[in-house]
Amino acid sequence: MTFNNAFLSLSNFIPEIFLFSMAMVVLLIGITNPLKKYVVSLTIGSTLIALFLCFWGYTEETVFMFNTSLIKDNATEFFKILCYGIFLIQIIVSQKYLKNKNLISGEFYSLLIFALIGCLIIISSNNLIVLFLGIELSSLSLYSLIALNRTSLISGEAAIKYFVLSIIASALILFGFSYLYGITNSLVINEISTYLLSNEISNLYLFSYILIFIGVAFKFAVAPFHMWLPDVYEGAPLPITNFIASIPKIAFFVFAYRFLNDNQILFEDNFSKFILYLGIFSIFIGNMYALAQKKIMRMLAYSGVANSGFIFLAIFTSIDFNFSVAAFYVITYTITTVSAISIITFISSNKFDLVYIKDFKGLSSKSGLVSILFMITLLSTAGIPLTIGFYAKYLVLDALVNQNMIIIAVIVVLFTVIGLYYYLRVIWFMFFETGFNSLIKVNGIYYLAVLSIIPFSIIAIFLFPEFAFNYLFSILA
Amino acid sequence: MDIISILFYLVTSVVILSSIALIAVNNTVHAALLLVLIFFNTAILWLMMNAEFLAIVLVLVYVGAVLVLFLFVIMLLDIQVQKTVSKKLYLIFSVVISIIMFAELYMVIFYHDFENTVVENLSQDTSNTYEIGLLLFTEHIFSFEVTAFILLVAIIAAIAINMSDRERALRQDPAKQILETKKSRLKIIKDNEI
Repeated sequence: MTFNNAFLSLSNFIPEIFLFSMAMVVLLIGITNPLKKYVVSLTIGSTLIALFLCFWGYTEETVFMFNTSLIKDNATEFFKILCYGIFLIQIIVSQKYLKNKNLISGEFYSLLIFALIGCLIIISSNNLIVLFLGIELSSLSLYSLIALNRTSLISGEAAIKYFVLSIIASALILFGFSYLYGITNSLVINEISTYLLSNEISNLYLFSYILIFIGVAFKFAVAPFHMWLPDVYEGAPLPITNFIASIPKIAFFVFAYRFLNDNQILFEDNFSKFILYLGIFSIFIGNMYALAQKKIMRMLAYSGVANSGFIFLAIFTSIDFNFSVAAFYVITYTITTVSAISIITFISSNKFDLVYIKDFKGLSSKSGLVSILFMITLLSTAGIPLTIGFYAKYLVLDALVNQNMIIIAVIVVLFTVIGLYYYLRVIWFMFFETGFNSLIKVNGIYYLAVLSIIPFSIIAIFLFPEFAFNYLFSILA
Repeated sequence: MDIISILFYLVTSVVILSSIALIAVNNTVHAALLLVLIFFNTAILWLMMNAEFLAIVLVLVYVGAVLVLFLFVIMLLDIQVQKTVSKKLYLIFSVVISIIMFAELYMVIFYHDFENTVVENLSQDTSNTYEIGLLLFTEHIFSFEVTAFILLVAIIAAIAINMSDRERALRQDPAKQILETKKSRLKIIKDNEI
């Protein structure tokens, strides 16, 4: 690697290098007594600067960095900026909650930044080793973030469960990688995914892809592999749940996109049917189990399972289109989930934790704005018109119908309609029942302003969906 | 069968058998020692592929450092050796699933044509360590740096989980419990105060 090459790589990697060093600074500031209280603002500031650097270093052309270890193109930059934005909203909203739980410390925020960097590495990696290291960096930080909440027994349980099951998923992914390397003789993902253009598909290639996508399904919590999700959602501190539910999903979507883009394997029936059936089963399990939940986070977890099923269906339909349908769905799902969990974090940041669904009774009498924001979010997750959730689900179903999968589309719609019940129940509780717990306080104009960003953008994008969709289509082409 | 393949089958069968024994034994110390056996035999496998650097690193790092730490942890935690109670149903299920998985793997891997795959045999003159060092610091420099950060995260996490605010950890302090009064635990909030 010549000097010039090294300079090019480093200069294109400035945002992440900056975040790496700021994670260390945050860690050090957390242990010095007078500076301790600036930890949160420093984290927010450094994320903002990294976001700015990401915009500043934006280029149209594709750049390979560190000997094709990393790739930088339109798609990676877009998803990175999305991750930064979501991360900013999460840490701004969660301040008060963490303060109440006595969790604010240098280690906490530095590990959070490390988890973010891990996801950014997954997004931009173009090499199997780097990809695996990115997965490990992000998940190792997340296990320990859950375990940091030592006052809660269920946090410990959630950390252990997440750790063990996530390790199994990583091991499966690594097993698949090892065979892929053996077959294709290359570590570069571009070469692996275009390997089939010049070679016959072999059973071993298919098998390693199945192994890798079982791992991805674990991380997405698609139905037979969803067992960890409800416990983690329930046990982890809400800001960590917020992180787990959103940013790794974007990262793993980009992972799936890198492996399947331009790949003939999607035309292989054995593989595409595997993705399809996982998706349908997930929608079934997610919606059915969510009906029976009493706790709001468990309900959101199962609704997440159902939505991950939709993501897999969208990936299945990318045979005909490119990945823009799936990308649109992933983005819709992540921002609505972030909005929902942020609102719950905001409500539970005063003395009383909002755990059960019936705690929502009469929220509108306390604060109309919060309940309207939460209603918009829930309706978007359910897929009701006037929110982008509707448009995203419509795109997936439209793509399914275009492939003559009408029966499957009908089944999916039926399950989604069943799923409406549990979203609407929360809305019913908020607006038409009384008896709100008077210990809960809902105030803070600064937080409300941040919280309303996503619900308003949900409606705004619904009004002009073509613009967003066409943009995604152009960057993923 | 030449001497090399006899050695190969011998070593791999030891690895497989001791892996099965590792998950079957109840005594944790025995399990750790079986792990030592596995690592030694894997090192022999590396040696047979002319990768002597990796073989030595495996023995030095895993057997020398990691497993000694394992044994220390086992000693310090003083784990009681217990007979695991497992249901017969689980056993039947797991055996059936393992057999199916094994059959699948066998079919997929042994019928694959590995002819396209090029295995570069290192010549006797090249230094293994030199080649690995060259690759590690040029082609895979980024992976190398990220690995450093993963280790850093592991250290931060381990220290943070163990050292941060021990007072709030889940343990009982009898003195504090006795000194508690009704006033310090109960607080009555009236409606108009909220």
